[in-house]
Amino acid sequence: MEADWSGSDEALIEAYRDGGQPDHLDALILRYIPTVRNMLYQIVLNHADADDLTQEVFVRVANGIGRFNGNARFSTWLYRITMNQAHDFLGRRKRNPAAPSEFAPEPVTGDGHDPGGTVAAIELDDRIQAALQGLNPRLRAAIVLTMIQGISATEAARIESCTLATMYWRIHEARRQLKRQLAEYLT
Amino acid sequence: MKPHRTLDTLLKDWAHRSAPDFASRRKLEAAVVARIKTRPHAPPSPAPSARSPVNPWLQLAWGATGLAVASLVLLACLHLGQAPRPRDPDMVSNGLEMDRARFSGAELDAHLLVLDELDRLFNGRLSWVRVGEASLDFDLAPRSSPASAQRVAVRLLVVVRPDPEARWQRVYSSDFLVQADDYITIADPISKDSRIGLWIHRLPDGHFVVDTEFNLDVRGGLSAHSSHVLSSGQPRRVARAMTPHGEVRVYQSIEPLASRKG
Repeated sequence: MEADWSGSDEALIEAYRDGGQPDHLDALILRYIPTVRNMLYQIVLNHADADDLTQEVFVRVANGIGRFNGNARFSTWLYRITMNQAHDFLGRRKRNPAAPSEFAPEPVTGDGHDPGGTVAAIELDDRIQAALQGLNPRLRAAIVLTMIQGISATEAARIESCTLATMYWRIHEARRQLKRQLAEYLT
Repeated sequence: MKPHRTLDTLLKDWAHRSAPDFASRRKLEAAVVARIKTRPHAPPSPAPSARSPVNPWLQLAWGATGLAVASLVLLACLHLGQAPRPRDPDMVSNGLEMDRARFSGAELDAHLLVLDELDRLFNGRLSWVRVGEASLDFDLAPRSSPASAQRVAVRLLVVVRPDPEARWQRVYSSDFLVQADDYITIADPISKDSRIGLWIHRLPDGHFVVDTEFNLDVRGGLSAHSSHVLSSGQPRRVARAMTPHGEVRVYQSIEPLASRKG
């Protein structure tokens, strides 16, 4: 499954555009599937929805790669598409509360070696998910991009198309709310 | 046992635990590659190059902040009589819609009056006030806000015209009296489906960052998110879109309000 390409993102895009070889596109996409999928899950908090949205994101990427102009990094462009998909999805879900995936609690995917530890992990994960669900989606996105994915606030502001000041505030506010919700687990 | 950690560690550990396992990842990779290879080869639909802050019809999820809105029609005779609404309530002339978004001195005086009275009435616990076309709503904070908090008035004006030759018609207009740096979510009592989210931050140079999310139950539903730097006294178009109802434009303006009276 893994395509053996070690070039930069831009080199793969250039090669795909020049030669039209799908392997280049596959390699580029496979490189980012884990990050995009994790990012989507952390925003929509449902595994099945995250899988579906991951497919949608990469179909959009494949369709739009010819118009990627290189003004921003490929990852920034990709993450913008990812976050747009996530926000659009959450908007649809908000307007259709009967949707079965509405904030359905997700089981913890542990390996089950430590029943006591798994129970504790389930409890903790439930609390974390509830705290994340309680955030405005914009605040949740700010936390996911910066604290979990390790993207700089400047880059996160570009991805979310907001000012840096707004991004800083979102991070601050989201951290404040999460700390309040998860106080008993924090130092 | 609940080992204590930092918030960063807590979230990163959770993210690690919630990541799909190897088999699930391989299955997803196969599904993605299959989708791409079987996608229609017709002219591809454009991928969004950016979520532009002025692109209004972005479907938006609203956080359930659970604000209990104390919806009162209070001081209506006092305030609504003084707070000037657009003189021509249904039609906004071509080229003048920007002016409709600008606060007049009388409007600001009226807003300040109602803000001070409500603040005094509720011992400084006033969180926000929304002055609609014929209603006034407000909400209270759990505790008093510092007297030094910067208060501002923000106007949101939505106009539409069915074709380029038609006159602009105002479809929504509200003024929000809020504190800078407070994130507020306001449910419009007129329509349970309407929501406004606002956050304002004053920059050192005196300009204001205004982050707005709105979902209005007008003209089939208007949703947008915008983030702009606004200057006092200078209305700005923050969103524009073509809809089945015609061209829609959203204007916003901001004015600082004086500090509380002693």
